[in-house]
Amino acid sequence: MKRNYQSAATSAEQPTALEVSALTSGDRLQVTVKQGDVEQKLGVTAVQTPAGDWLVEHGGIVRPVRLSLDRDMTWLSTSQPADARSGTTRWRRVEALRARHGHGESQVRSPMTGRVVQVSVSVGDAVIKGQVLVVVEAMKMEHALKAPAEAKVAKVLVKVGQQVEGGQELVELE
Amino acid sequence: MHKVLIANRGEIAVRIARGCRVLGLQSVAVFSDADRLARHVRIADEAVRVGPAESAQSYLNIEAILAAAKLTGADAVHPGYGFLSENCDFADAVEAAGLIWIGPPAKVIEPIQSKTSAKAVAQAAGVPTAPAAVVDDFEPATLDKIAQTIGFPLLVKPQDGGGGKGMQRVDRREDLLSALQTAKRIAASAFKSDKLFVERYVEHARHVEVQVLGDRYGTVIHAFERDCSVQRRHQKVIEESPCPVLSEAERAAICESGRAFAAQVGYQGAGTVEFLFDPLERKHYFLEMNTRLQVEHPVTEVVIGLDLVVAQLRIARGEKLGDIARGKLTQRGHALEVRIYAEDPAAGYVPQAGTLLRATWPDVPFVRVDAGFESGDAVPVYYDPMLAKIIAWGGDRDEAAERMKAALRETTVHGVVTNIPMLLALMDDAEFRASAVHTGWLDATWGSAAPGQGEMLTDSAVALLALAGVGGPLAQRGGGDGAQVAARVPDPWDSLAGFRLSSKGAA
Repeated sequence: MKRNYQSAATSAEQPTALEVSALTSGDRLQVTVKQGDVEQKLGVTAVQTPAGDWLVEHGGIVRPVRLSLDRDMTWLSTSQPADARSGTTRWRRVEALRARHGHGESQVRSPMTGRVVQVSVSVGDAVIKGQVLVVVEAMKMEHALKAPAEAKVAKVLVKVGQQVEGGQELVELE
Repeated sequence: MHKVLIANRGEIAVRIARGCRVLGLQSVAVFSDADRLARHVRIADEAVRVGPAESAQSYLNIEAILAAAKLTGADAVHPGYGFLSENCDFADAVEAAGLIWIGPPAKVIEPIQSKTSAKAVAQAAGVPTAPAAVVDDFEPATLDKIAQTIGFPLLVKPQDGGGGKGMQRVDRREDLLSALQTAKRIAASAFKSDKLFVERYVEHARHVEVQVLGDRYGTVIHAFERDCSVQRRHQKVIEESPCPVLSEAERAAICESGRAFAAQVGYQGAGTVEFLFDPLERKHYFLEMNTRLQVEHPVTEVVIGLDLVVAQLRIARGEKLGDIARGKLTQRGHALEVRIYAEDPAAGYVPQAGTLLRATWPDVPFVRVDAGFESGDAVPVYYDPMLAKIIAWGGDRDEAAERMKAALRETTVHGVVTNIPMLLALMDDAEFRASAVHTGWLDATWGSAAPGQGEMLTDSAVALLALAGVGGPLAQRGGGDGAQVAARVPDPWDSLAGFRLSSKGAA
């Protein structure tokens, strides 16, 4: 079974998209990772410690990995070489179709828990890159969600005054 | 004094409860509905609900907090920082209720609360102040006089303000009027009064502050200085002690200024006298005094070996500073502190709220962690998003920075995005490492966006991502209670037969 993930790193202009699949047999995993046209195969062993950490063995070397799951978001942390900034990354599971179209984000999500204070678009509107779609407020800070690219508004899923959670979809673009 | 009520939340409430424990005192936490299960509630001996999530109705609710003290039989109140810590009405109400107020009495706080009257106190104590003037009206003649006597660049400040709100730099005479009008509007909505003053702006200034302590018998001492020049929009991000750019003579002068100011008002308890240090002129100017424990107090504790919370409690119960601080007033080595915030620096520092699916704090030699949260805790949307502080000590500044990097690399927070990647980048920044920073430096470097979470995945991590995909929701949240064994939740789209998440090593 293939799964599609997209990096949730907010600093990424074009978030990395991955297609992964795994065949399992006991602790053994046969993993296939596809990024664009590049495909890689990995054979590893993954076991979980009683405290919840994972230990992943690859080529005889065991490395610790910390993993948490939250709905469609997977959090992963690994120890990193000295020059890396941080070992934590986030990956959102996305529909295969969207990932294949390569549009990047077609679902605009709230970056935090907060309240919708402005909805600037309606279904059918044509929007340009950078156009403000929705404004969410939390902790007295306003955050404007903008269109990542030229698109048409397919769905508006929130109303002004509505409370939203971090990661909740606000607008769908096509 | 037997039982202390802590009128605060988060890491500082945890910190104070532990200070009480050291002295064998009972502690009482207070909590809002959003903090029912919070860590400070779990660490204190007892806890009482004081209201709904909104601070105004809970952590700022004087009546409910005093009722909690009465209910539990607490005989002292520690306000922490923020919330009611510098509220004279609260200090008065605590004392009127016959309880011990762990802090300076209201009569000590009042004369230094307004920035202009604090300046008068500084001048009386012989403490240097930057050229400044109160702005009574916005007439052209008044503004001309300001331009002449203060000069540019200057800073417009609300008289009763704080946290940098309404503060504005003005470089030219023609911009002065509009800057004053904006500041007046902000001051009117945010503070007690809309009164303004202007002050000479010191270019490339460092923020240096002096920790002071006063007992009930008139003794006032300083416990050296801290440097908090790495700030984002006037909010401190990294703090350290000692200040890395002062000569011994400059250090002695600034620390004595801090002590003299506190002595002038007959200060009692722990407080901080803040200064601007002009690195070119090599002069310091009084800024303001904070009449409470500071967020960054641990860097002082680590460098001089004095527990400031314990010192506050001992002063409050009538002990003498001579006994409390004996042999603990020499600076040794260097300490750095970073604040771990639930915010995304890569997305304009937008604050994050949610559940900490995992919070694993570092365990590195010579590193201390003051955390308000653990795995599984909620980070409510209502309060300041600081999760923890990490304090690293070293024989010198470089050693402290390397230990800090190791600690940050060992820290794992899942569930909310944090500023850890930015802090790691700061620890490696050449200007930061050379101490070539000033209060406007971080804003100029990474003002609206800073290094955030990356996308780099190791092979091991990719493998687990794939496993998470086929496994559906692994029943693996938080983790760390030792007995947790992964269970697999059946997943309708998973056609693999015989797949099982292993937990080898579990009994």
